[in-house]
Amino acid sequence: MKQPGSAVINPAIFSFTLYRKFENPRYLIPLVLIMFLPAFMVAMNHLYFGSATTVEMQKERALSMVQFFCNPSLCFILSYLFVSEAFVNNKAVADADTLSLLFTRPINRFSYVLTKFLAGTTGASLILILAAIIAYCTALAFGIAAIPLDPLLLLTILLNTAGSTAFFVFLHCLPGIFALSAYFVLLGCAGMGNGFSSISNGSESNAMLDLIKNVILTIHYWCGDFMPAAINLQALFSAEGLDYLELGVAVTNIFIFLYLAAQALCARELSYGAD
Amino acid sequence: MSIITVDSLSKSYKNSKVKAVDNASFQIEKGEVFGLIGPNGAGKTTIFSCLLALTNPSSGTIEIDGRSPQDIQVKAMLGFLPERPCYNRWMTVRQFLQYHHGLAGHPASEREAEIKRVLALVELDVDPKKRRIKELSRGMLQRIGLAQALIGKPQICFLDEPTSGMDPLGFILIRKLLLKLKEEGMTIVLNSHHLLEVERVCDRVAFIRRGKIEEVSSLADLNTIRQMLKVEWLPQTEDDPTRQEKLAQLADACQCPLLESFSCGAKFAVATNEKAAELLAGLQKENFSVYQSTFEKKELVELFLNERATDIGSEVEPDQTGQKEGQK
Repeated sequence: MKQPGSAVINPAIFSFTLYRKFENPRYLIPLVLIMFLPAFMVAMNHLYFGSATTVEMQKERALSMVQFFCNPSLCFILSYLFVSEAFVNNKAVADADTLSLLFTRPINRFSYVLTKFLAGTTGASLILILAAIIAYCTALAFGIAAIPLDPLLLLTILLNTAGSTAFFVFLHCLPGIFALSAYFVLLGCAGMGNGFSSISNGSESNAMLDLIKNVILTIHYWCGDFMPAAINLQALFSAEGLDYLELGVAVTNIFIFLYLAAQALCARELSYGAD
Repeated sequence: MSIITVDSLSKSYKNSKVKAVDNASFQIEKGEVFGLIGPNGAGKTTIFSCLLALTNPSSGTIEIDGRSPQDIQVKAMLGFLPERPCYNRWMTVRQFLQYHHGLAGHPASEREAEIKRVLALVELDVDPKKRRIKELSRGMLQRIGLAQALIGKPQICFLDEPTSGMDPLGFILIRKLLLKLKEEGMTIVLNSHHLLEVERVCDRVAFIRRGKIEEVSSLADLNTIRQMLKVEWLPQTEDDPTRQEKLAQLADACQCPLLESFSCGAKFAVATNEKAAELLAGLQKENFSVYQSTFEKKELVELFLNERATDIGSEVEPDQTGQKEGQK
């Protein structure tokens, strides 16, 4: 007989993360809005510019639509909606309380991280893939090719949502104050990294400042302009030489964040109430 | 046969000089109802957290059914009712119980029958499909918490303040339920401030103060041994300003804590007849003209008050022990 808690993916947590909390229709509103946003953009574009556009313009619009699906903030908000319970609890940040009750159950903490990740990625990518299909159908209805619906776009969506979900699971596994700190530190590094990468070395060299700059640049490079790193597989594969490093960074980001999430959760002591 | 063994358990939190639990050792027998008693901040919740593997002990060992509390197989044996209702508020009662049944690793085929069973046990009269957790009163939340703790018939149940927020009917329900579970052979670890309830259902209790287990006693022993001795003496012709001090010193020396003193008498907690004799001899020696001494049965409430009285001024508040997560 199978031992309780021995499964790598916990079905109760998976279903809870993926769809149970959306049983109340009002929690579906943001998801439905996101799902129809690209179709709305396609329709607006068509109604504004009309069908009298050149093939070049249509290609440009298709490219901007693809960029929409690579938008890290979109992936991030979707991951947040799936991974966190705060949203359905009408709170900004989730309490640790439910976690403490959860971990009195036969659940391995690593299995919790992996389940949350898989469910979050499935949910977020499903919403974006549906959004792409709806946008594609809308474009077809208008007789234009607004979006290249091919396996590379679907893989791009999957990879980007996986990256943002891994990052959000990492934040979710940290205690509230540490999660916010980690978020702002990474955000700061991304912002400063942008600045550092665009300017040349200062006139005066200082070993300590150089070290800090290099650390920030490394984090920035690994985590992207706005973490996690966004990737466009269509652009990557259409380039002359495939940038394996960029792809590698995106994939390793996922593993790094999941590893850190599992470590943080294992090290975390949970308290269920004031005595 | 011991199902839970706690040996030299200590827990210190970062940023706190005080030990939340200090070298605590006790054993809990299979099928026993074991109570933890102590003032706020005594370390009861920390002991619970360690037993439930939510917190790692600084030192010492815990074994549940011969295994570490971290062991998944151990967790599958446990049910837990937290002191504060920390449930998924947006869920309906049914979803919440389904979720916990699933988390406990029980087969989905048994789910609905099990939900019906636990709802009947806690006598919760709401529509489980429609009522959301956030719509329930405090007492109802407590019943739901109890239902989730009992789902899947755990072998060991940790109940932290089970009567908290309950009305008198709820109190009766909890008492009946605990006695029923005890009859069925479930091991129950109870943390409660409602000492009358503890007295009625517990087989043994551990008195905790400032993180230390002061004593583990069976309720049967407490009823016969732990008594209160009321001593009365003749008024003294001359006022002695040091009289109170002498009484306190004598109480300390005889290990009979002074519970109360009045103009011509005092009440002491005495553990044995020998201690009572020693105390009376000491009083005579200090020129108290004792003319009467009577034993009164000491209830758990008074024992607790005694622990509390000696604790005033030195009590460790929860935030000082760093029990809140943000302070760790």
